[in-house]
Amino acid sequence: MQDKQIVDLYWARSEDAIRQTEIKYGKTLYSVSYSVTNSSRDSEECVNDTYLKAWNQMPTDRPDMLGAYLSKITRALSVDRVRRETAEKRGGAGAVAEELSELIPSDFSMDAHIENEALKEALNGFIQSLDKQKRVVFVKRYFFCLDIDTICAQTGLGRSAVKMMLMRMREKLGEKLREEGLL
Amino acid sequence: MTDKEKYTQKLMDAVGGIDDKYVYEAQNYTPKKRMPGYVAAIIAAAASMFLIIGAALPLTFFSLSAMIKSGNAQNDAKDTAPQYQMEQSFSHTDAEKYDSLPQINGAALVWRTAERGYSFVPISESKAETLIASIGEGGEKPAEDDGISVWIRTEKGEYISPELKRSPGNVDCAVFEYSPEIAISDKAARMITDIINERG
Repeated sequence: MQDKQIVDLYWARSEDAIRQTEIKYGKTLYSVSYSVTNSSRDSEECVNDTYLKAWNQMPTDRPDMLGAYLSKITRALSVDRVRRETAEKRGGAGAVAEELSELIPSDFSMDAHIENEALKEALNGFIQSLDKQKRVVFVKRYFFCLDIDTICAQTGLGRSAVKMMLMRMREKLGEKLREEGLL
Repeated sequence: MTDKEKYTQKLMDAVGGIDDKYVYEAQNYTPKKRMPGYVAAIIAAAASMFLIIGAALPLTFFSLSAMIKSGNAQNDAKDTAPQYQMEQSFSHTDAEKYDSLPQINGAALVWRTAERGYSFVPISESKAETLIASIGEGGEKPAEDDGISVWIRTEKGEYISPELKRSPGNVDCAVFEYSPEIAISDKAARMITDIINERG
């Protein structure tokens, strides 16, 4: 079924919307969540929560890219769930958060109130400035929280190439955030 | 929670809010497929075969026609017997039929037109070397297609082209050096003109 038809089902408050979503995106959403949580049980719960959240938001939202829209919900729910876990139980999101924290100086002091929207805009600008391959690697790592080996398998790149690419992108992102007064 | 940890959380949340198009792009990304080694090897082998056959066919034609003409020339040699026939031209029919070179010994200036086929005039070895040396002095703009192809034959029998038509490929292309991008240099043009004028 086409995305538009599924969205129409949500808008029509048809329960078939969730069934069709599960058929089309169930596995994708599970893998998105599993990359973040590293837990089957948590992933299943996050995917079910995604359906519920989509059901609640859909009369207002009308996404053009349903897969991406649902993936974002799943990721956010999964990251929240990981945050509630203890450090030892943290999944892929823990490793990704650690990597991102590398670009923040250890004596960093968040005096000014940094707007989430400004940060999001800066990130979008940064991602847009990358070429397609780098962009894909960046999103796979920091949005989908995929491990390096999975990224290599999905992009056809070597391990060291991906690692080097990510390290350079983190450095550039840090520079951009500092330039814009967000770090 | 430290400020660093808080900021990391913010960053993680901000990444979660990137445009749908980037999420979609990453989800649907398929890398360019690399050609497996064995496929590349097969293609290389096939290309080599093609080149070998491509080179062998014109050479065979060349040799056969040269042998035939050599035989005919020996029969006719009693009366005429010149070492070289100045500007030996093949008839239109011959050019169409064989489209191959006359048998030439020693250094020569060779040219070919669509109307008259191949012609040549013998030149000295040193003149041939000087002409060949001037090839590299030609400009990089493509030579204009005046319908004439020119070669210099060295004493050793190699054929070098100072100026060629812009058309891709050439008759007996496997035999000749082919540089269609090189326009003839003024020096080479003058020398060729002089050679033809000297011929009268």
